[in-house]
Amino acid sequence: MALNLSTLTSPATSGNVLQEVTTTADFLESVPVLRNLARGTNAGGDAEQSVALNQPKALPLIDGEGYLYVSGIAGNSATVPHESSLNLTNELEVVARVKYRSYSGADAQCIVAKWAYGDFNFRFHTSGYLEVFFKDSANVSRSTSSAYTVYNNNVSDGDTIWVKMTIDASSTSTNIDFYTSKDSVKNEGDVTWTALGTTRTITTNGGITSGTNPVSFGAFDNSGNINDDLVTGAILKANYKSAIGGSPVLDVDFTANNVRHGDTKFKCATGQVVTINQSGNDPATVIKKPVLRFDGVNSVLRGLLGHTHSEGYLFAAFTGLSTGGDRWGRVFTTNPEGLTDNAHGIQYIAHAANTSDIGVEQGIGTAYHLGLWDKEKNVLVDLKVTNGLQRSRVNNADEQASTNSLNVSTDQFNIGANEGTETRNDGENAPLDLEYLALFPATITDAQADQIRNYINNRNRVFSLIDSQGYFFFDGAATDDGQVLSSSTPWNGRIVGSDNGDSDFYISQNTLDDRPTTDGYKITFADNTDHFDIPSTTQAGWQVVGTSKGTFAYRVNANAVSELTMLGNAGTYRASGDLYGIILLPESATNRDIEEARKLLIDRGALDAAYTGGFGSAWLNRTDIVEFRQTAFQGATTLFRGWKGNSNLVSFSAIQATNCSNFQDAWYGCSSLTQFPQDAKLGTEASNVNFTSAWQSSGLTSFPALDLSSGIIFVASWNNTNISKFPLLNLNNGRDFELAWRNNNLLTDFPSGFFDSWNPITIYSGVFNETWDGCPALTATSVENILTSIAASGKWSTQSGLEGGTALSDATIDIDYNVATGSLTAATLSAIETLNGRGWSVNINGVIQ
Amino acid sequence: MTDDTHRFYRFSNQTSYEALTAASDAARGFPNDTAERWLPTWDELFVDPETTTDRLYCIKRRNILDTDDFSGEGITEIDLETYLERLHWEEPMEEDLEMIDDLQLEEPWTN
Repeated sequence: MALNLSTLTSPATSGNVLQEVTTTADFLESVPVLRNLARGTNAGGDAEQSVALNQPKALPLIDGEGYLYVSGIAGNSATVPHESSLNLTNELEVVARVKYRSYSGADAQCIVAKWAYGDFNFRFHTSGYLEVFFKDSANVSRSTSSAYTVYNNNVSDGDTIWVKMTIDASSTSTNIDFYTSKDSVKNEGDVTWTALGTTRTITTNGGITSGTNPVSFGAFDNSGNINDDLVTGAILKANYKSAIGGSPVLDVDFTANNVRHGDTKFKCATGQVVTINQSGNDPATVIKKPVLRFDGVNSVLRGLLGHTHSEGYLFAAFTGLSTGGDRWGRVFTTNPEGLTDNAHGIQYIAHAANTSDIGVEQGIGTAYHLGLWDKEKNVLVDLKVTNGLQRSRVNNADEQASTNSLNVSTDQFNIGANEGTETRNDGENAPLDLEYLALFPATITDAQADQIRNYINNRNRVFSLIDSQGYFFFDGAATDDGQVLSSSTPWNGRIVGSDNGDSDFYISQNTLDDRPTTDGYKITFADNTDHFDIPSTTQAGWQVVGTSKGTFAYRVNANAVSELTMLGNAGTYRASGDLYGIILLPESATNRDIEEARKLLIDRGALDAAYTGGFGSAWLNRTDIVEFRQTAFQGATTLFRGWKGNSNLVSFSAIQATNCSNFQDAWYGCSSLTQFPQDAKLGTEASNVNFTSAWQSSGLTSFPALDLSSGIIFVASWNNTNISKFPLLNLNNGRDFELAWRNNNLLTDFPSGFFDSWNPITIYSGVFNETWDGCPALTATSVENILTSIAASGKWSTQSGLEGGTALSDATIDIDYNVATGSLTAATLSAIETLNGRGWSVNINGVIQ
Repeated sequence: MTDDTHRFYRFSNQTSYEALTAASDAARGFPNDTAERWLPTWDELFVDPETTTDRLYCIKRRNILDTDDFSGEGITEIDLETYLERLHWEEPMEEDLEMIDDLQLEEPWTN
């Protein structure tokens, strides 16, 4: 997509250089020209490289999809640890969609392997045949290859193809078949397969032996190291099944939406964690957006600015791939013709001296962005250089500034290496994936520069608020498998580059029996003792937790926190389950920022909505929570005491807990909660729902007209609130209203007709015991409404509500009201008479009527 | 958390508990002058809400050694159900909610 400069700035201030890496080059193709898309009068020239050896290579999307790129260099692959679910017995089916540079060559190339001590190794033979090795039940190595090469099926090198292999080893006459397809389809089920010759039948001992070695892609384990049958190309997806035509036991789909650009660990569709192994300047990389790969050895593009350039703004989106390459390998520089960029250029981004830092030369002097040259760190550097003010930021954070006077001008630019003097020609190369470069004149405003940075970021999705403003990110994937999370080897929540969280922030647990465990991807809290101790912190913000029970977001206050549980800051209950990460964003986070953080954790494997199960006491006494955001609780079966004691909770979004049958004490004591969401759904799909003390002692000043018709128990539900006017609700299945509206000092109005259709299956003794006691503001009209309505229901004071049923031991209707609002009306007295006739007793202001 | 994965205890005697943990920490090579320990300190155990003096805790079976001696005075092994019931015991409300006892309310601690 071409970026139209006029969308960012007026034509009169159009930029000098605007480079874009949405190249038309094919996968792995060398790129001689990077077009300058700027259209302004000052637009410079293209970036070019005429020497093929020095051209960067393209890693675009393939058919619009992402993939795993592997470079054919030892140490680069993807692996999945062995687990028993991957064991084979008699059958195997392997399917993959790949795009290799070549399907033949000096060495075989792995497709999917689980090899060395058993299982299988499916690969391309050096001559283009499909080939498999496996070990039979006697652990004897067997192998065969397809009758024809893939080229016989009209496959060409570099094609995107599907391949399949099946082994039926259910007898000693073991049948093996190979297939290919060039179908440009994305789903395996849509593939039309073409066999590579006839079935190969070999004599074996039957069966397939399973070992414990990992599954690998891009290379296979020949001797304890995954460094053989190296692949140069792309793997889009691969799976294998332990029964031909069955469901995959391992399904790795690099095109899946939850797999992100640059991920080095992710959870695949069948639940296993896939690790991307990276080595050197050309590392294996999950590609989800087009990049140009500069090799850090000789890749460079150069161009002319087309005018004299002495000030301006520079934007560069890239990822530093390795701390190898040349010292001070360049990302982008400018220079005057014939003069060096470091001494005479004015804009300069480089890999600082083979450290993990980005170095930015701001005309005079160098600023350092520490720790941001990292193959796992996608960055957007924006640099302003003017006479008297130079400033650089990475991911809109970590600002470095100086105020030097400048008197230089440049007319050339370089990407991936230094300027081209004779002595330093094509030197100081940086290994990097370049996504975007743009240069603008100094005549644009800082506000416009912010818009440009945001535009680029929205388009390329380089960074989120976590990177720039996050306080911490305790990332499960940043732990090591089996890491002991004690103070000796704690969990670090540092966010390198963040203005708020770029310092080590360790949490740990020194008590063995309280210590959560990690598998290198998620942290498991086994019981209600597991938790982490953290240095006391008083950071307010949005806490986002991704867990096996849902991914929740809440705004927390600055209460001191010294313990983290699976659900974030400690309350008085420690939930058990798996934690994928905890993020703390600043209070200024927008809905989009919060959703991005949630999505990140969900992509890791955390559940989005609440799991199907109980949330008893989950956020009990979380006095830090001010606002609770995640409200998709359709799976919740109980929310007993869910938010009890959240005394600072002021906002609760529209909870959808349709299947929950127990809300007892759910918002008990939420004394700051004045409003309850009118779109909430509470137990609407459940039956026999319990609302005992659900809102007792909360700060509610009103209550919405919710559908609570599934409720049967309303004991003390609204006891001791600040509600002044109660709405007409359908509580017709209510069996017990004991204490329901007691101690509502401000309650004046109770609606008419409330109990007209009251018709529970059974009525509990004491159903109206103290129900309206302690309501000194209740009007005489409300008393009339209550009593005439109960009378209208026709219910007798029996368990069945019918005349002649078993009498209730407590059949008194207790009401306190404000006598200043009038005497009991004639209608009230008539209703009392009716009720008395059905066995009810009416107690008003302590007097039996 | 099940009876298969955990053992559950009520501790009524602080001295006995500390003797248990001191011996067990020594057996595990946890020097007593550092924060590394097997079980939490007495004050970090869950207070039994009914007695307010006893303590409750669950212990992962995988972390228990054969040499750990739970025979001390005031150390009582209980089962999961009892543990949860005691942990979440509450004083009866002031009001007499006689019928609430008849309800088949879902046990909230089994999620």
